Amino acid sequence: MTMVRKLRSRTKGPARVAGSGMLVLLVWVGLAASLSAEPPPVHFNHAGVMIPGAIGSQRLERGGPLPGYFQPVEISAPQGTIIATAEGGQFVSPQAAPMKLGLLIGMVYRLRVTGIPHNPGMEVFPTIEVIDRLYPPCGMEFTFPIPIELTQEELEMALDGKFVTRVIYLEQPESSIPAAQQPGEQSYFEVGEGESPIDMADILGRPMAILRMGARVPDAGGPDDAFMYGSPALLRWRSKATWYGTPEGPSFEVSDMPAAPRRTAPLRRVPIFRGASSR
Amino acid sequence: MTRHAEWSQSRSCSGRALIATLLACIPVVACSCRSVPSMQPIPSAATELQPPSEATLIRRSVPDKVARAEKRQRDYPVVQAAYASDAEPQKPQWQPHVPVECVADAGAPLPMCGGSHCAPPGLACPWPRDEYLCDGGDSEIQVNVGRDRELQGLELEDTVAVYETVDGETKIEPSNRVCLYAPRFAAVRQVRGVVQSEQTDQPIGVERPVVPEGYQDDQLATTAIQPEQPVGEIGRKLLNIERVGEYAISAETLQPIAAFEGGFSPHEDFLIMRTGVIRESERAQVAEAVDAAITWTHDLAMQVMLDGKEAVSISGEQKAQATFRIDVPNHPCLRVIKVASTKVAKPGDIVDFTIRFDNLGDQAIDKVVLVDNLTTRLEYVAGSAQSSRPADFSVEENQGESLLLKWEFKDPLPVGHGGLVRFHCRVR
Repeated sequence: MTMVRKLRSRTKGPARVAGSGMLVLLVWVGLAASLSAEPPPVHFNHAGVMIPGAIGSQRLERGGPLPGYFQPVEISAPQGTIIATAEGGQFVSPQAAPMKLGLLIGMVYRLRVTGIPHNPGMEVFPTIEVIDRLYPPCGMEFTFPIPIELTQEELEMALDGKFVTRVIYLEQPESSIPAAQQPGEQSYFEVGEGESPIDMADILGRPMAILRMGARVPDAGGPDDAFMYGSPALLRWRSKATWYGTPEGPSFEVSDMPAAPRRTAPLRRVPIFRGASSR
Repeated sequence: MTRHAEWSQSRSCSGRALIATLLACIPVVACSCRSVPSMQPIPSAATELQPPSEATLIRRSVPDKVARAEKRQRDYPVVQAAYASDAEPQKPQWQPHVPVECVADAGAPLPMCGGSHCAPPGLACPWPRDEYLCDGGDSEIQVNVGRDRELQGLELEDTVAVYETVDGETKIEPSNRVCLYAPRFAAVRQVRGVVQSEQTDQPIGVERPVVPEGYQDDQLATTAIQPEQPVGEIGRKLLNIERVGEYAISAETLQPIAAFEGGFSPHEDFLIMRTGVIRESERAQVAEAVDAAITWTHDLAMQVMLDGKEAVSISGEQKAQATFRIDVPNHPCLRVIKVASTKVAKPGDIVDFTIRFDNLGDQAIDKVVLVDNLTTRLEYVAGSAQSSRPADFSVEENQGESLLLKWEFKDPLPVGHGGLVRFHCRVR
């Protein structure tokens, strides 16, 4: 009987120790998985409209390949409008719209818009906050920028003292608006003062950028650092398919943007297929 | 006992050591689990039809990242924005985003991680889904054919072919799914009034309206409905006889028997031939007929020809009944392939779709119908539909405010034959 007990304890001892260790490991893995579970990398929810930069910062905290990525945006405006970006605490490089920029996600960029049609001498200082990025095929990042439109109507609203918030979101293919969209004619929904445009955009698709216009003007002594939101770094894009730094002095030509590829040759006729030669 | 005690002590020590080792490994595993997952290369939409070769997608080692980043810097020079003021520029806090895991096509560097090449692990391609415009295949709800040959469960983006086999069975074959990178944007706008300086000093008065405490409304009755109730009941009789009239309905069939004259012949007028049940009283007659049947050898018996193919007898020698079997091909197979002319598209672009279908089975199929339910963002270009086989083409509006394209092919599709259809769509 004694020998039997020895043999049984001998066979159960290591198994018991290993089992205990495995149990501890499994319990820990379960707890760790539940604690470190990240929300799905899709939309985000938050409460209402927040101050510029807050939503982008929250988006960065969610993780992903966002920090340091320059998301291309294309800013369009009525013809004749001049847009200057904030760099180094000053508005530099004014140039005619449209313009393509690479903006960091989570940062707030202040612009100065002048030359507004029918409003000579007037200025508007909108901000752009990119809160998410696209994942286009490699090499086509600037072919598919986030379109940010400064419409004549909204610029005049801002001049009249209104505060305009435009949340640009990426449409869901299944629930997209069943209408053709022409370049420069971005469809939009209007929400009332009691509603949150970012929440509405979150319901309709994936919010990508926030454009805010109106209300704030720089102090008489010039724009301070808070007004410029620190003048975060940005990249510019030219049609030569190369990145380059912000040039000092006069702006450059942007009218030689390549057109979207279109079919020019007529379609070939489809021959009637006969026989099993295609197999 | 002493040896056993030593062994037990050593086992206990080893057990503690094992637990300590496991506990020591926990932080290591924890750190590794909390690291940022690297981007994984995934096949692009263009290679969805065929498995990607190993040469096209390569994972590079860590030292290559530096060389690749340098090469990218040469090919795609990234220069930090310069500052126009004389103030010393601040050193940026960010670091340039360097995709470290993605290379494609013989090691060509990728300037940025694109959606068609990289996706977080565990997510299906194409990723992100909301940036791609897909068409084709059979989505979540499986397409079925109703009794009246109506397609059920046909969702947007679905592309299926419906056909009938030689034995009358209706089959459905979905195509592959084609995805284009075509993100589209919309906006939500809010306009608020801004009040820069508004101040309320003090109230100048209190408005306190006096309201009535009550309200009484007396209305005279204008109509009285039977104010008096009955005081007695004379009597009431229930129905105790019911006459039911049923008329005979003439039962006659209007379908005459065709090609079957005289009923059963004497040699086959048995219950087993009629119903398959053997009657004991007919056994002798059946045996006689069996002997008569056995005298017919295969050479003398009638040769069965079905559909131009010789039947093979599998009957035994001593059996009256002979079962002839013919190997009817019953493996229908229709392959439907859908391709698009481009992998990326912007609103307003024209995309050409081509659908090829081939009968890869071992029997001809009939009543082939090809259906493409266009998604919301695809607008069919009128008059652009082409077909290599005679077909009736029709369109109808679908639930996505787009069109459902349908080709109904007139002729059966023989074995080994196929066809093409082609149409153009404008990306909305």
